[in-house]
Amino acid sequence: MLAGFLGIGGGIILVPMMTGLLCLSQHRAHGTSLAVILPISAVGTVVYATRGDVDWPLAATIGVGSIAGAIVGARLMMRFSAHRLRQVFGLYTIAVAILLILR
Amino acid sequence: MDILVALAIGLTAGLLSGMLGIGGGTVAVPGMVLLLGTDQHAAQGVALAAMLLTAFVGASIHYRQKNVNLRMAMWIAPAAIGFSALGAWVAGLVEPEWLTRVFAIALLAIGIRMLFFARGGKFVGIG
Repeated sequence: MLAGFLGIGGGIILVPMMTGLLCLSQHRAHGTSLAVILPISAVGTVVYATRGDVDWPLAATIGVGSIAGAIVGARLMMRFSAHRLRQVFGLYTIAVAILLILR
Repeated sequence: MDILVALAIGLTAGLLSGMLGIGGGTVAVPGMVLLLGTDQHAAQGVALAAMLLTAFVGASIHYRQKNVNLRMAMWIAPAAIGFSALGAWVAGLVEPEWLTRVFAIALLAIGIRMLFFARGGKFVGIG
Protein backbone atom coordinates (compact mmCIF):
# COMPACT_ATOMS: atom_id res chain seq x y z
CA MET A 1 0.00 0.00 0.00
CA LEU A 2 2.72 2.46 1.02
CA ALA A 3 4.81 1.28 -1.91
CA GLY A 4 2.15 2.03 -4.49
CA PHE A 5 1.00 5.21 -2.79
CA LEU A 6 4.39 6.77 -2.13
CA GLY A 7 6.59 5.10 -4.72
CA ILE A 8 8.82 3.43 -2.15
CA GLY A 9 9.47 -0.28 -2.10
CA GLY A 10 7.92 -1.45 1.15
CA GLY A 11 11.15 -2.90 2.55
CA ILE A 12 10.90 -0.53 5.53
CA ILE A 13 7.93 -2.61 6.65
CA LEU A 14 8.96 -5.95 5.16
CA VAL A 15 12.47 -6.34 6.59
CA PRO A 16 11.65 -5.59 10.26
CA MET A 17 8.53 -7.77 10.01
CA MET A 18 10.57 -10.66 8.65
CA THR A 19 13.38 -10.40 11.19
CA GLY A 20 11.05 -9.60 14.10
CA LEU A 21 7.85 -11.59 13.58
CA LEU A 22 9.06 -14.36 11.30
CA CYS A 23 12.55 -14.79 12.79
CA LEU A 24 14.40 -14.62 9.47
CA SER A 25 18.12 -13.77 9.53
CA GLN A 26 19.05 -10.28 8.29
CA HIS A 27 20.53 -11.58 5.04
CA ARG A 28 17.57 -13.80 4.24
CA ALA A 29 15.17 -11.01 5.17
CA HIS A 30 16.97 -8.66 2.79
CA GLY A 31 16.92 -11.20 -0.05
CA THR A 32 13.31 -12.23 0.54
CA SER A 33 12.17 -8.62 0.81
CA LEU A 34 13.78 -7.87 -2.58
CA ALA A 35 11.93 -10.86 -4.06
CA VAL A 36 8.65 -9.40 -2.75
CA ILE A 37 9.54 -5.84 -3.87
CA LEU A 38 9.92 -7.14 -7.44
CA PRO A 39 6.19 -7.91 -8.01
CA ILE A 40 5.17 -4.88 -5.90
CA SER A 41 7.16 -2.48 -8.07
CA ALA A 42 5.97 -4.27 -11.22
CA VAL A 43 2.30 -3.74 -10.31
CA GLY A 44 2.97 -0.17 -9.17
CA THR A 45 4.84 0.60 -12.40
CA VAL A 46 1.94 -0.72 -14.52
CA VAL A 47 -0.61 1.44 -12.67
CA TYR A 48 1.56 4.58 -12.93
CA ALA A 49 2.40 3.83 -16.58
CA THR A 50 -1.28 3.62 -17.57
CA ARG A 51 -1.65 7.16 -16.17
CA GLY A 52 1.36 8.26 -18.21
CA ASP A 53 3.42 8.88 -15.08
CA VAL A 54 6.49 6.83 -16.09
CA ASP A 55 9.31 8.56 -17.96
CA TRP A 56 11.06 5.40 -19.22
CA PRO A 57 14.45 6.90 -20.24
CA LEU A 58 14.70 8.64 -16.84
CA ALA A 59 13.74 5.39 -15.05
CA ALA A 60 16.38 3.44 -17.01
CA THR A 61 19.08 6.05 -16.23
CA ILE A 62 18.28 6.03 -12.51
CA GLY A 63 17.99 2.23 -12.53
CA VAL A 64 21.44 1.78 -14.13
CA GLY A 65 23.04 4.26 -11.72
CA SER A 66 21.30 2.53 -8.85
CA ILE A 67 22.58 -0.94 -9.77
CA ALA A 68 26.16 0.38 -9.99
CA GLY A 69 25.71 2.12 -6.63
CA ALA A 70 24.22 -0.97 -5.00
CA ILE A 71 27.18 -3.16 -6.04
CA VAL A 72 29.67 -0.64 -4.63
CA GLY A 73 27.50 -0.07 -1.55
CA ALA A 74 27.27 -3.76 -0.68
CA ARG A 75 31.10 -3.92 -0.68
CA LEU A 76 31.52 -0.68 1.30
CA MET A 77 29.00 -1.78 3.92
CA MET A 78 31.58 -3.80 5.84
CA ARG A 79 33.78 -0.72 6.39
CA PHE A 80 31.21 1.39 8.23
CA SER A 81 29.27 0.80 11.41
CA ALA A 82 25.61 0.08 10.64
CA HIS A 83 24.63 2.22 13.61
CA ARG A 84 26.48 5.31 12.30
CA LEU A 85 25.13 4.80 8.77
CA ARG A 86 21.58 4.66 10.09
CA GLN A 87 22.11 7.87 12.08
CA VAL A 88 23.42 9.69 9.00
CA PHE A 89 20.58 8.39 6.87
CA GLY A 90 18.05 9.35 9.56
CA LEU A 91 19.37 12.94 9.59
CA TYR A 92 19.33 13.00 5.79
CA THR A 93 15.67 11.87 5.53
CA ILE A 94 14.57 14.44 8.15
CA ALA A 95 16.40 17.22 6.23
CA VAL A 96 14.84 16.15 2.91
CA ALA A 97 11.37 15.93 4.50
CA ILE A 98 11.73 19.54 5.75
CA LEU A 99 12.93 20.71 2.30
CA LEU A 100 9.94 19.02 0.64
CA ILE A 101 7.47 20.60 3.08
CA LEU A 102 8.99 24.09 2.67
CA ARG A 103 9.13 23.86 -1.12
CA MET B 1 23.07 17.84 -17.60
CA ASP B 2 19.84 16.28 -16.40
CA ILE B 3 21.10 12.88 -17.42
CA LEU B 4 24.15 13.32 -15.14
CA VAL B 5 21.90 14.41 -12.27
CA ALA B 6 19.67 11.36 -12.91
CA LEU B 7 22.72 9.05 -12.89
CA ALA B 8 23.93 10.66 -9.65
CA ILE B 9 20.50 10.19 -8.05
CA GLY B 10 20.55 6.53 -9.10
CA LEU B 11 24.11 6.03 -7.80
CA THR B 12 23.29 7.59 -4.42
CA ALA B 13 20.07 5.58 -4.13
CA GLY B 14 21.96 2.38 -5.02
CA LEU B 15 24.88 3.10 -2.67
CA LEU B 16 22.54 3.63 0.29
CA SER B 17 20.47 0.65 -0.67
CA GLY B 18 23.56 -1.57 -0.80
CA MET B 19 24.99 -0.24 2.46
CA LEU B 20 21.84 -0.05 4.58
CA GLY B 21 19.51 -2.52 2.96
CA ILE B 22 17.22 0.37 2.19
CA GLY B 23 15.67 0.88 -1.19
CA GLY B 24 15.97 3.54 -3.80
CA GLY B 25 12.56 5.17 -3.44
CA THR B 26 13.31 7.27 -0.37
CA VAL B 27 16.33 8.77 -2.15
CA ALA B 28 15.21 8.75 -5.78
CA VAL B 29 11.77 10.38 -5.31
CA PRO B 30 12.92 13.49 -3.37
CA GLY B 31 16.02 13.62 -5.60
CA MET B 32 13.88 13.94 -8.72
CA VAL B 33 11.38 16.33 -7.11
CA LEU B 34 14.02 18.67 -5.62
CA LEU B 35 16.82 18.48 -8.22
CA LEU B 36 15.02 17.78 -11.49
CA GLY B 37 11.70 19.47 -10.70
CA THR B 38 9.81 16.28 -11.54
CA ASP B 39 6.14 16.25 -10.56
CA GLN B 40 5.44 14.08 -7.49
CA HIS B 41 3.33 11.50 -9.34
CA ALA B 42 5.85 11.15 -12.17
CA ALA B 43 8.73 10.87 -9.68
CA GLN B 44 6.96 8.01 -7.89
CA GLY B 45 6.18 6.25 -11.16
CA VAL B 46 9.80 6.53 -12.30
CA ALA B 47 11.08 5.36 -8.88
CA LEU B 48 8.92 2.23 -9.09
CA ALA B 49 10.08 1.48 -12.64
CA ALA B 50 13.75 2.00 -11.69
CA MET B 51 13.23 -0.17 -8.60
CA LEU B 52 11.97 -2.95 -10.84
CA LEU B 53 15.43 -3.09 -12.45
CA THR B 54 17.33 -2.79 -9.15
CA ALA B 55 15.15 -5.31 -7.30
CA PHE B 56 15.52 -7.79 -10.17
CA VAL B 57 19.33 -7.60 -10.06
CA GLY B 58 19.36 -7.63 -6.23
CA ALA B 59 16.92 -10.50 -5.93
CA SER B 60 18.79 -12.65 -8.47
CA ILE B 61 22.10 -12.12 -6.62
CA HIS B 62 20.48 -13.00 -3.29
CA TYR B 63 18.71 -15.96 -4.89
CA ARG B 64 21.99 -17.39 -6.18
CA GLN B 65 23.46 -16.99 -2.68
CA LYS B 66 20.40 -18.88 -1.38
CA ASN B 67 19.30 -15.85 0.63
CA VAL B 68 15.74 -15.84 -0.63
CA ASN B 69 13.04 -17.67 1.29
CA LEU B 70 10.86 -18.33 -1.76
CA ARG B 71 8.00 -19.91 0.17
CA MET B 72 7.72 -16.89 2.45
CA ALA B 73 7.97 -14.50 -0.51
CA MET B 74 5.07 -16.33 -2.16
CA TRP B 75 2.96 -16.04 0.99
CA ILE B 76 3.60 -12.31 1.29
CA ALA B 77 3.50 -11.37 -2.40
CA PRO B 78 -0.27 -11.63 -3.15
CA ALA B 79 -1.28 -9.25 -0.34
CA ALA B 80 1.62 -6.93 -1.13
CA ILE B 81 0.66 -6.86 -4.83
CA GLY B 82 -2.99 -6.14 -4.04
CA PHE B 83 -2.19 -3.31 -1.67
CA SER B 84 0.43 -1.89 -4.03
CA ALA B 85 -2.17 -1.67 -6.82
CA LEU B 86 -4.66 -0.10 -4.41
CA GLY B 87 -2.05 2.39 -3.15
CA ALA B 88 -1.01 3.34 -6.67
CA TRP B 89 -4.67 3.85 -7.63
CA VAL B 90 -5.40 6.03 -4.57
CA ALA B 91 -2.24 8.10 -5.26
CA GLY B 92 -3.71 8.97 -8.66
CA LEU B 93 -6.71 10.58 -6.95
CA VAL B 94 -4.58 12.84 -4.73
CA GLU B 95 -3.37 16.32 -5.76
CA PRO B 96 0.44 16.43 -6.31
CA GLU B 97 0.97 19.03 -3.52
CA TRP B 98 -0.79 16.80 -1.02
CA LEU B 99 1.04 13.70 -2.22
CA THR B 100 4.35 15.56 -1.63
CA ARG B 101 3.21 16.46 1.90
CA VAL B 102 2.21 12.89 2.74
CA PHE B 103 5.53 11.67 1.28
CA ALA B 104 7.45 14.23 3.39
CA ILE B 105 5.63 13.15 6.57
CA ALA B 106 6.41 9.48 5.84
CA LEU B 107 10.10 10.42 5.30
CA LEU B 108 10.10 12.33 8.59
CA ALA B 109 8.73 9.25 10.40
CA ILE B 110 11.36 7.04 8.73
CA GLY B 111 14.13 9.48 9.69
CA ILE B 112 13.05 9.71 13.33
CA ARG B 113 12.79 5.92 13.52
CA MET B 114 16.29 5.55 12.01
CA LEU B 115 17.79 8.10 14.42
CA PHE B 116 16.24 6.89 17.63
CA PHE B 117 15.85 3.18 17.01
CA ALA B 118 19.20 2.63 15.34
CA ARG B 119 20.66 0.66 18.23
CA GLY B 120 21.71 -2.96 18.43
CA GLY B 121 23.37 -3.09 15.01
CA LYS B 122 20.16 -4.59 13.65
CA PHE B 123 19.44 -3.59 10.08
CA VAL B 124 16.05 -2.32 9.15
CA GLY B 125 15.42 -1.92 5.45
CA ILE B 126 13.44 0.46 3.37
CA GLY B 127 12.22 -0.55 -0.05
